[in-house]
Amino acid sequence: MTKIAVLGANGFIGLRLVESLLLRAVAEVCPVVRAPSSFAPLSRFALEGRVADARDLEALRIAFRGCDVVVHAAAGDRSLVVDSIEPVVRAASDAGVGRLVYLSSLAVHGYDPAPDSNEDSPLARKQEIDYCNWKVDAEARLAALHRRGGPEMVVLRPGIVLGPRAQWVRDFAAALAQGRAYVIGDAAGLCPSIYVDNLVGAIEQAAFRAGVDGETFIVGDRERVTWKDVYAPIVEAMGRNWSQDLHHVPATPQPPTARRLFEAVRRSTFVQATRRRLPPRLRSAAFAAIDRLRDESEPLSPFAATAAPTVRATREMTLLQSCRHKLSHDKATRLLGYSPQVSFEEGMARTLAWLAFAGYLPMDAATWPEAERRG
Amino acid sequence: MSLAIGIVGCGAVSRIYYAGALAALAREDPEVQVSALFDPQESALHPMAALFPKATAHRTWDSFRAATPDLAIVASPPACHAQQAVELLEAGAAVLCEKPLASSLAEAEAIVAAAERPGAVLAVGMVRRYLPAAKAIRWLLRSGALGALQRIRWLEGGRFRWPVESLDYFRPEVGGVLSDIGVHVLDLLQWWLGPLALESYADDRAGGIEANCLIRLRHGDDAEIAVRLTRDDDPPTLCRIDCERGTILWREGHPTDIEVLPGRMNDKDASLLSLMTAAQAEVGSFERSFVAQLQDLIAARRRGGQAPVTARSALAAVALIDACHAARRSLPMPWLTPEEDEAYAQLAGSGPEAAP
Repeated sequence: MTKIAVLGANGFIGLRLVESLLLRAVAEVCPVVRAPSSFAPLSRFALEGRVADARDLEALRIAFRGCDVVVHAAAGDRSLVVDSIEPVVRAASDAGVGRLVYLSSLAVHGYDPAPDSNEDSPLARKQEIDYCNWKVDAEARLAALHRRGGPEMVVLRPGIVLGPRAQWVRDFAAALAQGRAYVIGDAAGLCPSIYVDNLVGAIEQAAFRAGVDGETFIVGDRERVTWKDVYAPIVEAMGRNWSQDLHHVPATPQPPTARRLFEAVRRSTFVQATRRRLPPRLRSAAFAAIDRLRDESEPLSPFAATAAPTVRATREMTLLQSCRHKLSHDKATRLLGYSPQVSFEEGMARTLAWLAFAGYLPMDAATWPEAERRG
Repeated sequence: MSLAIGIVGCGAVSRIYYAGALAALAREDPEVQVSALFDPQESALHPMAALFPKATAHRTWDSFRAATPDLAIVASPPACHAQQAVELLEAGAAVLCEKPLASSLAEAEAIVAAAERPGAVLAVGMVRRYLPAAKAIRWLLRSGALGALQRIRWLEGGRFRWPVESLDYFRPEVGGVLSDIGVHVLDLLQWWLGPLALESYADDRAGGIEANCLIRLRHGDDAEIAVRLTRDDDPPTLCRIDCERGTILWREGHPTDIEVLPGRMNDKDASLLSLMTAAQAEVGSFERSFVAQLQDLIAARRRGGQAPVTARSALAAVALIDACHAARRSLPMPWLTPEEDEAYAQLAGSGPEAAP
């Protein structure tokens, strides 16, 4: 049986991938996590886990040993997104891995892509949101390494991944419970959704399909849906009212040029590298002053970390909810045999069932799972 | 009177909680000194030895036991508790045994037997009993200020972030969320209410250890209690206690704050409620609770009495956990496909504690 290493197995995509591959006996699964504590949600299965930071070449070599396929699903900050690429590719190569499946993002096209964008469209490096640039850099590094040889590589570009534990769902539900949830206007922007099981299906195809080495695929749900289509069922399940219990806020405009320039300098590789080289005390003093100047209302990318919703729209959510075009996954259909098996409606139903399972629905309206089903 | 303290097991709980508590105690009472440390792992022993340079570091159990401290904190893996606690009690040391008391009811009963011999002093690390909020809830429930208990819904846990050293922590014999957080919850419930009857238990084990579980209990004839525990997500945790004349809300396990939503209350009840509110003003924190439980044990050792959390009183939670294992069913996971669900049912039956 094919042995698949899942790097970032404790993330919500990784968890569902491990669970699904294992339960359907599609492959032997080897979950790889960054810290031992991250293995907790995976420990309900009798799995041989491995511990490796996605930037640690030696640890990755050991973690990938004996594996035929590696799925890189690790998420994090810029350092993890970009700097993990080379060690992962080299470790996979050294371990004799046959194929690497990399989970990139539709964000490489920007949050409001041009209508005719596809896998061949040139990618812009200077996008407003950092996360988009990190993923562009990561793909570029991957392509450069692929040209030098090593394992086969397939890149997937999912959009907003929904399902159990998805931060888009969980954070919105938590914010709603605390009266902090918001939408831009009436949330009429398009959500480039993909239910996590559809992504798992794409990963499986990318792992096993012949003749797709070096290819990149946009993947998504079949349906064209808005953010309201995503959020409204959650609002209803939580017993809230769409008009009254949500903050309907205006889009946050692009910051002025001076602010953008300042942010670009502050986040530049040179400044960040200098920051790391300074003695701790000097670093704290010098950069505390600089950091006070930045716009603290803009949280980290929700792709990279759990965002803290506020009643003022972040620029990132403004851009996400301003999306006007759904990109086609025709190429994935043709070459990868990709076919989303779970409808958006069914995906949302399963997602809501998870919200109830996990305890996000109010206790008064509790639909706590029944304990007894089978022995 | 000087008091030599030994620490058995120098892992995360000793490093994160007991080291700070012992340092605080030593500042308040210079007679209290950490004299001996034991851990077979050098990587665990070394950081604690750096924190307590006057203490002798032992890599073997025999050499530690020969050092005979006056008081020992047993914070080793639960499977070691019974042997170590019993031997220390027999050697005359007062013992603070970390939770869970033992990894099985039989082992826990062996500890109880040793702790109930004349002169023995043993406390169990049910540290949450020291939280002012937990004490206030007990007072409220026992005073009858809110009338008869109707039901409790308790959602507890969060993503597992405990800094474990290796994946060995997730071995079946160590146990999952039930042993880890559940022992605290079941201990508090029975400390508040007295003995509870298990109605049902379900968890999500599929060949490994549980990350989620649901326990249904009954208090008396009418009050139903549901406890949902998790270590794989960060839901808004809440203990909601509905009584005849009011509701108690304890959010996020806050050390001091509880909220009471009174319904119909008479003057006497209202004065009790104000007393309870005053109790909440007590300074408390999770860390401070570790100091308090050590102070109680030291006092018991010095005066020759019993510690507040005796082995017998902690036995009830271990017994309920044993009952949960025996009654185990699998927890439905509604996002699985029918094909996956069938496989999950088969794997769930192959778990280490499968229902008989």
